Amino acid sequence: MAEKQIPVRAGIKSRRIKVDNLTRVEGEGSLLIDVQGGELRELKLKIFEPPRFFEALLKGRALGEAPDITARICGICPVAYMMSAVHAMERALGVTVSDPIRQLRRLLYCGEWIESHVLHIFMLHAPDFLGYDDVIGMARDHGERVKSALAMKKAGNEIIRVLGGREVHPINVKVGGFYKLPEKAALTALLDPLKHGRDTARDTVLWASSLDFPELTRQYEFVALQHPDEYPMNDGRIVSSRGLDIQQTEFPDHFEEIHLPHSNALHAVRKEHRSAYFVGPMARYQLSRDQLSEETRALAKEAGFLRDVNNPFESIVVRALETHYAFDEAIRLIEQYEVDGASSVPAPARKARGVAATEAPRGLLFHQYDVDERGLITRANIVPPTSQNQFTIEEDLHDLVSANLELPQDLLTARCEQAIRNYDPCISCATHFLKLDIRRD
Amino acid sequence: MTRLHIIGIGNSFRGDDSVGARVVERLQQRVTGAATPGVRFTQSRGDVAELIQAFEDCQEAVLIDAVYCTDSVKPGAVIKLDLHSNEVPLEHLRASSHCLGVAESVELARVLDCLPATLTLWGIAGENFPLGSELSAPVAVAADAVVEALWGQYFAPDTRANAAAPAY
Repeated sequence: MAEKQIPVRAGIKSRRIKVDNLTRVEGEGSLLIDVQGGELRELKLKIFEPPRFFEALLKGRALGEAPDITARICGICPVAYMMSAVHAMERALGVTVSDPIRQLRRLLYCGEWIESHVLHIFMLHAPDFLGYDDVIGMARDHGERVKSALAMKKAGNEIIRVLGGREVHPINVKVGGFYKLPEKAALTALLDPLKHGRDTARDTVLWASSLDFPELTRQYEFVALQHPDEYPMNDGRIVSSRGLDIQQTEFPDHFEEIHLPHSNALHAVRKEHRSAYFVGPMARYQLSRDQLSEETRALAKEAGFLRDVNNPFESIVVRALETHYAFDEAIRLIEQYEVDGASSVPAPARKARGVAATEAPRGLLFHQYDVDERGLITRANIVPPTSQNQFTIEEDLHDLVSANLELPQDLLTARCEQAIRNYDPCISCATHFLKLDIRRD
Repeated sequence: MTRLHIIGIGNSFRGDDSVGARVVERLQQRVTGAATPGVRFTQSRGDVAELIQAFEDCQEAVLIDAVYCTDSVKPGAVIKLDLHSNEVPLEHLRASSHCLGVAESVELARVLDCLPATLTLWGIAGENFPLGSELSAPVAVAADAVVEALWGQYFAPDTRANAAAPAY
């Protein structure tokens, strides 16, 4: 809720804008912006949802528990936590899963990208572009669009239900594979809603590309996984738009988390220059759009987006393109699926360190574990995407506010909230993160 | 179409937030073996798509969820509300461990004309929500009372009259 402290007239260059509780983000946080004499003096993205100490909670637990425990960090992207955890443990144990298991994990990730992206595009972000306070107001005028969004989300939920055992916090994922492989018929039954969802996603891309995007173009260092054969989800090297190209094990050598007093969440920076970087759909799209399916690339071209995207407000289109791709990929994976082989491979314990990064809907999610010879976790480190994007969000807000000081208070406040939502921030994940306070006297 | 869908909402790992799921779990155990045609039980995190789909597919829905206390609503208090005729009491339900919660889902369903013919909320005021915690004592007592009331209203052969919310 915006707290309008001082009415502002055009021309006044000093003011204070405060939003105590940012809405339509997951978790609790706020933003404080202080402008004096036409200069932006202070900008703090405050995260006050209490830290949840998951890393400490994992110490002493069996390595096989890590996927299920870390999945509880987030109700929106539990699959991402499970995937990073199982990959990290399997690397620690020297385990390689079969190709069918790898493909099923990719299918599970498609389900999570669909449900998370659709939730964000329609329920959280679209009301900003269309001038509504929330999706309920938007639904009064755009009811059919909201209904079709719910149907898309449901299709994503169904993938997770069938493959993961239930729609939220799947229970079928284990280190080494799955507890049980799905029957072909159970997956084939998902095809019709997925094909319908892909058609709706196509409409969504064209609709989103017609929205009015506020001006904000910046030169980012995009960071994402990159894989030679596929659009990144579970696997790949960590690359950046400024030439970084490293193995996942090298992540701690190039990235670090620092603590700032105003936030419960750690801020991640590039180690070399302590600089901000950008993870998430725009990063993946910048670095790997050639790996999208032919149909998704053709759609991007039709929408005028088969190009670099450096305006974060256009992230809604990129997210829609990734949604279309996730439907397309899920359909491909299901059509080629055959029940083949064991549901998992043995994963005997040994003393080792394992790291893995996968692409959560919001961006790169890094896990690192040390386990002892009994298979107990002795150390855990989790770097979620929202803490990696925090500095970039603050830099976006700095440029946005500096260029729009003449805007009326309520409009500038709304624009700042919209800019934060460009990143689909998940505060709950980051504290393991938002209120807006812009001061202009 | 489901005749009656009883939906317990919450996070099983967050203390009093788990009360909806606990009520559904106990009620299901109690009706085991009894003929309950057209009745469905669900433990839910309160996902908007899942809830609206459930509303569309049933004649009557009962939601059981933890609600926040206010100056006049103390821990363990039970609020029974007809949500088909009344808007969701946002002072109790707006805050959610999810970005779109029960309140938004019900009001969105109302705008989309997806509400079932009957929709009742049994809200149990909670005070203890940390991860890994158990139900607080007053909420545990209230949970038992709500199980009893729902049993009486929907399943007990000779007490089908509308149950009133127990007073606390």
